Amino acid sequence: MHVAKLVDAKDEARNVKTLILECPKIAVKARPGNFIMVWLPSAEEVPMSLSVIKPPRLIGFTVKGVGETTNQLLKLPLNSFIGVRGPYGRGFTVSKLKAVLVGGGVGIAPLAPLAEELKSLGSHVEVIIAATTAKELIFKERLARIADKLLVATDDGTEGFKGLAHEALDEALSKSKADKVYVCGPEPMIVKCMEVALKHGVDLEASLERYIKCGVGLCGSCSINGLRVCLEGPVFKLSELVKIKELGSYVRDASGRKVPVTST
Amino acid sequence: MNLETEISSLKLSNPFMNASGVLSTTGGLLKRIAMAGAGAVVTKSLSLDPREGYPNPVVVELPYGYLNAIGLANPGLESFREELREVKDVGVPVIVSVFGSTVEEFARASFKAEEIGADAIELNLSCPHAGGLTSYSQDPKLAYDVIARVKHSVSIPVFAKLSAESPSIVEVAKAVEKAGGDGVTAINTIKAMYIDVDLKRPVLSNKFGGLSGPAIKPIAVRCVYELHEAVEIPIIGVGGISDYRDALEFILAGASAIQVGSALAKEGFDLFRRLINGVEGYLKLHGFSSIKELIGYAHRC
Repeated sequence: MHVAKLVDAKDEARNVKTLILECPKIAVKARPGNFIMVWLPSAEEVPMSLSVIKPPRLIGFTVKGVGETTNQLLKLPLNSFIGVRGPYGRGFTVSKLKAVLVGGGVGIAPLAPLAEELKSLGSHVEVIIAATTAKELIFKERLARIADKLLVATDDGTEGFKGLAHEALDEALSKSKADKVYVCGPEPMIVKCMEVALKHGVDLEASLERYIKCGVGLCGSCSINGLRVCLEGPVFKLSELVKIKELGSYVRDASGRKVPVTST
Repeated sequence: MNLETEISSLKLSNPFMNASGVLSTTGGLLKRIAMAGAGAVVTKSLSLDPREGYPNPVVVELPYGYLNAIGLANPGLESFREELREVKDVGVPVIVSVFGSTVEEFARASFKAEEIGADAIELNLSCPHAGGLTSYSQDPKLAYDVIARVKHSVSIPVFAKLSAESPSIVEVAKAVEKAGGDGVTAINTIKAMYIDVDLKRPVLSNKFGGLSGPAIKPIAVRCVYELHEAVEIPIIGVGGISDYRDALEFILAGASAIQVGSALAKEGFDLFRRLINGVEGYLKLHGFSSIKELIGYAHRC
């Protein structure tokens, strides 16, 4: 457990903020795709993907208010101290290649440090960010600065491509083949993007989300087909993803019971 | 080298299994443990009704072990029927850990466990972070009552998981034996606390948790040694076992089988292979042909 200071908070969309923490111990170790456990002593501890990795001192995560803890995080005053553990999990694998990154909703968050890392290695980076509507889009300016090409997609057509993320991906891959697709977002979107990648014969990695309790591979709460998302994920390779029968069908609740996957 | 061992009527190809609660919440995880070479698998402690457990934080990593207060989160015995099916295919014995809040609940949960496919039952009498549930391992009379009642309800072997924090673990074990219990598992985690100095408060949402890992190993070895002198029923040793030498310490103290928890989480499923290879090498080096020759060997001196 490390104690980190909140040094900056940036509004990304309605009810979505990026919180920047000073935490050198995590900043020097973190890789794109890693997550941290964020503990607000007055509420609960929640897993958060890193959306900012700035060694040697700063890390950041992007939070959407969906419950008591996340809503309290949105209101956290600057210079507050909170507990953090990590970095945890297996991140994205990176090399110099032609990449297409696909992010849906707050799932766009971990793709930003990935795009930065890929660019620093000399990769060609195309990014597709998708949301239900224009107001929900995050990281547009930041990714526009990093990426070679940025494509925006909204379900309702209020901005950019009108349609779903995987349809935008299908179009992008039809125009120009890539070496690898990286995806993060709602699970049905991941499943659809996998189908598109398989159709085009392109490799893929995706970051999955499950109910994480311990974060260190002990409790099994985040298990999906016997794999621990907190330790063996959250990023999985296409060869692993195709074997996960539970993918896109159900997740587990706090007790460990199976419940159907929702689209958000 | 022969690593076969028995706990009551349960025959194991080797003495190693996971400790309840670690990587045991789903059929998929239990199957991986079985496929990794474990001699048996143990489920997460299950109850008749589902239970969400405590809010996060539920785990603190310490340099010498883990402190946890998961709070007995489990999907309930009926939901676990489907999970058990996944692991039953592998063919290793499945021990279902159960708990209840009354003697009657323990009995009904055990009956249910047998019905959904358990090969044996481990009664969690000693979770250190679940309200009044620890009392069954504190009081020989209560332990006697629960074992006698459960034995009446099931036809499979019944083991009792005990705590080092009882006034006398030996007296509780004797009560388990007298009531017809088929074995004891020793020891559960030890009630403990961690306070973050900068944030100035206990980190676990439940404040108290159970300490596992290397920190508690010498206490567990002491308990197993004492139990071996006091009871005839087999002992399953658990508490801070990280490598084959730790496991041998428990076996020499009197354990017929071994559970690994914290080390399994930390090192992964390959741990079983390393334990098996390590013990085989030891038997060869020290001129033994079977692990059974070593059970309780340290009592000869």
